[in-house]
Amino acid sequence: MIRVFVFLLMSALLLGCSAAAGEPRSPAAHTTTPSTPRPRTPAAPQPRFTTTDVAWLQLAEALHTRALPLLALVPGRSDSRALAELAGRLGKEHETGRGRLRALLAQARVTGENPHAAHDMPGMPTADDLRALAGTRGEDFDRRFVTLVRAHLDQLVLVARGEQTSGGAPEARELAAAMERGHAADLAELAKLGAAMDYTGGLDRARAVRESDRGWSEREKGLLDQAVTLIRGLR
Amino acid sequence: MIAKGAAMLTRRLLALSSLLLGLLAIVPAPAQAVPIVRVAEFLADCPFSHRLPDDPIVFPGLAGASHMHSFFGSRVTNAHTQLNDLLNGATNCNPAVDKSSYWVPTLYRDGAAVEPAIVTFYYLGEGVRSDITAQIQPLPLGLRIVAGNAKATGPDGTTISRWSCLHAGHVGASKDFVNCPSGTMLESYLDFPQCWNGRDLDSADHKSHMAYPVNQACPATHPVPVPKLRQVIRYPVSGDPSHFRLSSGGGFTMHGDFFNAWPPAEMERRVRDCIRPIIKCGADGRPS
Repeated sequence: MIRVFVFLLMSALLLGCSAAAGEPRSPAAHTTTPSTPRPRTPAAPQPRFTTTDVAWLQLAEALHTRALPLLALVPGRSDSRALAELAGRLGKEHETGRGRLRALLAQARVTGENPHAAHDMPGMPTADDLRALAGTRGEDFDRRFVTLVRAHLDQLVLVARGEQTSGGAPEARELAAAMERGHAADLAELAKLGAAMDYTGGLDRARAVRESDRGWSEREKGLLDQAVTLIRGLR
Repeated sequence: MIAKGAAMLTRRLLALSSLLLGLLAIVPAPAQAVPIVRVAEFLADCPFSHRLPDDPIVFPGLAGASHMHSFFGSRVTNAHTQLNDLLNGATNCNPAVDKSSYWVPTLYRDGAAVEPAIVTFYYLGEGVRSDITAQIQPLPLGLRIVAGNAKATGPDGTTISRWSCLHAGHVGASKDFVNCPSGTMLESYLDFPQCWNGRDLDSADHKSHMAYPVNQACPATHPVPVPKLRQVIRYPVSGDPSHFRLSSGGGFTMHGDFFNAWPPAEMERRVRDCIRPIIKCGADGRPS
């Protein structure tokens, strides 16, 4: 009996609530009292955060998220210790960065699914990219991987610059500045690795020439082999 | 004798009446009277202007953040564009008073960008009951709308945009690219929502301040009827759709962005003279 009463009471309350919510509100009431909380659409940003801030936070968060499966492909596919180390560090950096972006999105009172996460935006590795990459090994993998990571980091740097010049909330602009510095350092390291790959590739080609050329002395051949081994060890 | 005379008279009357009818058909309508077509419409023809990976509605201030867009109308639109930039900037629209900016994802054929040959933006009074058409309000200056679903992962119930072929109606409309016969053009139709919440020029998702009508009326949440923007874009391509993609993905990701910069007086005049009285007008906002 009490249960039935409670149920009726709850129903009555719920009905009352929905009836109140359905009441028409005159637009004039809103314009004259701007301090009244507006019945806004979902994800109405906290006023301190501008449209640019929210757009950057969401896009950077989506870019970070979409790079994680790319970074996870390195173990077992690359023979380069240096590349594996960089990918591992980037993975951790991306987890941390994503956490900071999400914290600011929460501060900005932006909830719900990230509108850019399931969509291929510039800089993001596509499903096709990941599939193709997953099927490669060794130097082929390294080259494709570096190209995709570079495109991703370049885009992060580009949008972080935009946020710093066009954004509003100081905490978002500061995070953008910190991220730009971090990604620029990552890109420099990636460039070194890329150059080493090109150098190794060049040496491989030189060795192929050596095999076909009888003009090389045994001492020259030996030196070239040593150089190739040395460079491979560095990578 | 009497019967013969009556028959002759009938023949003469018939001949005379067909002559009169023929004359009526040939003689043009008096030059002064404008033939009124009972369609609530005015339009702007705004060809391709420029291409940028920018979106001043979705990514304001973030140059290069977006997939590639093809811009129509305003010549100045980029990631940083605000209303005053449009009002003070040049346009390629006919009429030139329309300083609005319109943009869509760029179409690619085998990886090469294809720009439309014909781009028309119709402003229509249809879609709501005729008593509501008579109360349509001008689109507010500075209004921003994104229509269509750039994030769609397939053609589904939410797909509003349609693809068809110009001069090949038998192909029919589809939510994804269609195979147009050689010599025809691939065309895209997209209707923007025509019910405004009466308050916001934009919203967090750039859509929630607008709504589509329900049962030919604007819902209580979006009570202000405004003209329905219909974007019609014709691309000079045909044939196998597997060669086509949009910068946002498949054909079903077609979307349109609109940043209203019609001078209010020009918009008001067209709503008053064309939309509410249900009169088909041209680019100049006069009966056409």
